[in-house]
Amino acid sequence: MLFNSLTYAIFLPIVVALYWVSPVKFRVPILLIASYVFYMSWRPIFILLILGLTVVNYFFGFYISKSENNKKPWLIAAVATNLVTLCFFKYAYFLNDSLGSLIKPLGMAPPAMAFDIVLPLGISFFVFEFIHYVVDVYRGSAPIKSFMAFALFASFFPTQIAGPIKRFQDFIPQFLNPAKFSIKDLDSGVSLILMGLFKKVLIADNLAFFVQGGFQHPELFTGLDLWLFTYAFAFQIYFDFSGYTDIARGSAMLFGYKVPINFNLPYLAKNIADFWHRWHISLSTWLRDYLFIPLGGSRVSAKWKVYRNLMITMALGGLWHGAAGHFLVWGIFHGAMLGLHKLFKDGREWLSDNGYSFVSSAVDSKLGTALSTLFTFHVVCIGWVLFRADTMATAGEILKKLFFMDTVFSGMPSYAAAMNLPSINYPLIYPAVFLLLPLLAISHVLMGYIDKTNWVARSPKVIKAAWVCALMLMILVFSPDKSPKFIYFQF
Amino acid sequence: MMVSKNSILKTLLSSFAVLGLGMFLAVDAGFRIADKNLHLTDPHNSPIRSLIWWTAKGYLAEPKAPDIVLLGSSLMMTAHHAGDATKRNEIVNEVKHFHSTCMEDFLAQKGGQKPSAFSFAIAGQMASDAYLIARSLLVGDKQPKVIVYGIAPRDLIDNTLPSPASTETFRYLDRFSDFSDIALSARTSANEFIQYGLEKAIYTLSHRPDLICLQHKFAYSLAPFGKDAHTDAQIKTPFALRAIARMDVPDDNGANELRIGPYDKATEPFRDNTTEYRHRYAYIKQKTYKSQLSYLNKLMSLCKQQGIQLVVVNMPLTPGNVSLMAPGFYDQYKSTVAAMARENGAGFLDMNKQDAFEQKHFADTVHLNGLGGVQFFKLLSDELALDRSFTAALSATQ
Repeated sequence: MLFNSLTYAIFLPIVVALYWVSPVKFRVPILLIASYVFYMSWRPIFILLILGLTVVNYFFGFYISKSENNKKPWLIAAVATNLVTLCFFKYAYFLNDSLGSLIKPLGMAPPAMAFDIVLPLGISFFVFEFIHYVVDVYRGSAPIKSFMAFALFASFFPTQIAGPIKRFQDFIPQFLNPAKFSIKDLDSGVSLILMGLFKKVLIADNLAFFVQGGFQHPELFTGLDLWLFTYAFAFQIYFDFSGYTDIARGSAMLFGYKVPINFNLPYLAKNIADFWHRWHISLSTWLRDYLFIPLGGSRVSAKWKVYRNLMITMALGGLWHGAAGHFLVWGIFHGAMLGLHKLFKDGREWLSDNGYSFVSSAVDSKLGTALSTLFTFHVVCIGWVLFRADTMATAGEILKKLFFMDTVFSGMPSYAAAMNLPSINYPLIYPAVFLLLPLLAISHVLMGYIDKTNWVARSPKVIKAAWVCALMLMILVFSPDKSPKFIYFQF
Repeated sequence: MMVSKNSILKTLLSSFAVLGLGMFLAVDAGFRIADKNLHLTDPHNSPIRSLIWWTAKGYLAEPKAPDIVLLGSSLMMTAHHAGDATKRNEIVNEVKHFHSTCMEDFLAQKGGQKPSAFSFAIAGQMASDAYLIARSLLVGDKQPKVIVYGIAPRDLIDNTLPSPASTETFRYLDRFSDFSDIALSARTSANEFIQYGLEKAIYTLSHRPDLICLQHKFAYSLAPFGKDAHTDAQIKTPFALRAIARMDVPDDNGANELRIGPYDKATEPFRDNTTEYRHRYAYIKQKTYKSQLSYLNKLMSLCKQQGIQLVVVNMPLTPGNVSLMAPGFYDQYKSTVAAMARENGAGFLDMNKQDAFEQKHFADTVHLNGLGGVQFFKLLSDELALDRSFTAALSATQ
């Protein structure tokens, strides 16, 4: 059941109404049943997976908590159970293919897969929530006593398929002290859902149509064109995933539950580390808490180990997105950029300590901030090429054209370097992208101002109502007939 | 504690989301009233340049009703276009070429006066679509004297068809025709019923295509490029990109994208699509078959009622294709259609003549090539010229 489907538009109001008209003691069971119905609407058989992992992790939590001297073996068993499940469903083909390419030079073939493996929806997200749970219990948090609460934590349908990755310390108190119905939550929930749909169906889906042309056939375009496709994908993935998160958060809010934010205007990041504080926040904090810090984090004996930890964290973070080489390379790229950023930061500090503080002043000036924001955006965009391209060969072809602007620097006449996009007559999105992309860039900056000034909350009720009305009209009229799945559903 | 109605109302009215919904309903009602009175939208326009849109546009632009209208799926459509391209020895633009040169010329050779024959044959046209075209467009001063409807089993049994209401022809015609009598029977899934209910309730939703047309007009007026997307101008969009676009909007056809040239044996080898048809015939949905037969019956009744002479033509297929059907099915289909035609005073011509059509006349196991198209219309004209009902209808004054 997709958030941008008619089925969900019927399912959600029914569950919300049932939830609030029922006595308090029935509300959590209603939500749990609805969550399982939601999950089963895709492939009913996979209910066994989420239920099985819920039962296993529930008991692991207790064993870890109760064991005095044997906490670690229980933790290892719990983490291994989750990771083996994830690896089986998500990485079996990738590992088999990788093994195949390794042993091919020896004249050997990898073993044939005896059965087809279907990737269960949301597995990467709920497995990470389970790992967070058992690790935090190991670190001293009290385990969840109520099985129903634990089951709901893992299966809560608004966040079930693509997060945000919740923390049980934030979620369970909301379960123990259920919120009362409030108009404020209803209003916030509805406007978040509408905003999410607006981002997804109006912006991301229309850009998706444009983007796939460029990324599937880079040979048809010049470097200038490909920069446009890359910018378009940057906005597509942002509006797709942040749209999804808005719908998830809005849906949860209709039941009085708060789930964490996932995005904070990421393309206004001043550097790559700042970007990861603003992009997919629930994943980046998870990677920090359950991978980077356990590896030693930045408090290590030797400096090189920090870079190693960054690289391992980001490489695995890349692989988490998908079992493919280009995701791994995307992760390594970000690991390398974070390493370079750390070098730069350390260099700045050294310069400041040695009387060259003007460097820091220049970087922190308004112009310096604007330039570093622009630079960071382009670094992220280059990363997106690795992320979006279907193969490394395609990514290589696009990057080559982006950097060398193909004909511009190859001595060919300048007219040959002119963009090909202007000659594309239709579909409409091709000519319209020249207007759309600058508008999106402006809107991103504008959103920063709106957030900063709390403009929406301070607006008169009638303005907010007009905004809701306008969103409903725009979604109704301009959404494509066939809305593609959310990008992060595949992870 | 009882909560008073006033208190619930007060609580709900304090919500800006509820107020927003109220505003939306008010805007929708305003749009409904304004459009009904001021005719803000043009339902004949379409954001998708589908074959039904092109053909309806062509038909409405005709100065007067043609004598003959051809109906049918791609079987009739390719026979018409490929046949005409071969006969005229020129490239034919399939979204602009509507008059059947073959039929007009061959009938003229037989009967003296040259009739006008307009083809409403469209790829994927089901019997339900043919009926809807006849009742929506072939009426009033645009009513032809004769309808020739080319049909084959696949036009009644398409196993990929979710419902009669799911075709582009239905969706397009529904915008300016009253289909309320078949609104429920033409829909089959819960989603379709809900969508229909919502469209009935929300005027803006039912007028989405009109508003998208306005959006396109606005965007093209601002966009620096692409203004000639709806014209015959040389389209430079690379084929690979159009292929992607057509995956999302398969019914969209540009002004010069569908072209067919004269038959050339060297460049048109026979394409064996046996696998596709084995699949099509293997899973016949009886419900779809019965439903489509009932629309065929409706078409026949409509023609009878309107005084239009209908001739149902069983289209040529290769023997190999017929052999893919379940034993007895093809004969049962033919006798059912023939009996139905008899009951309604329509003609039935079986043009699947093994001795008249050889493999060299076919582009694949079902579609005729240019050679076959010319042959088909020649033989059809011969048969029609001998049909008294047809000649009487054609010579009648309107």
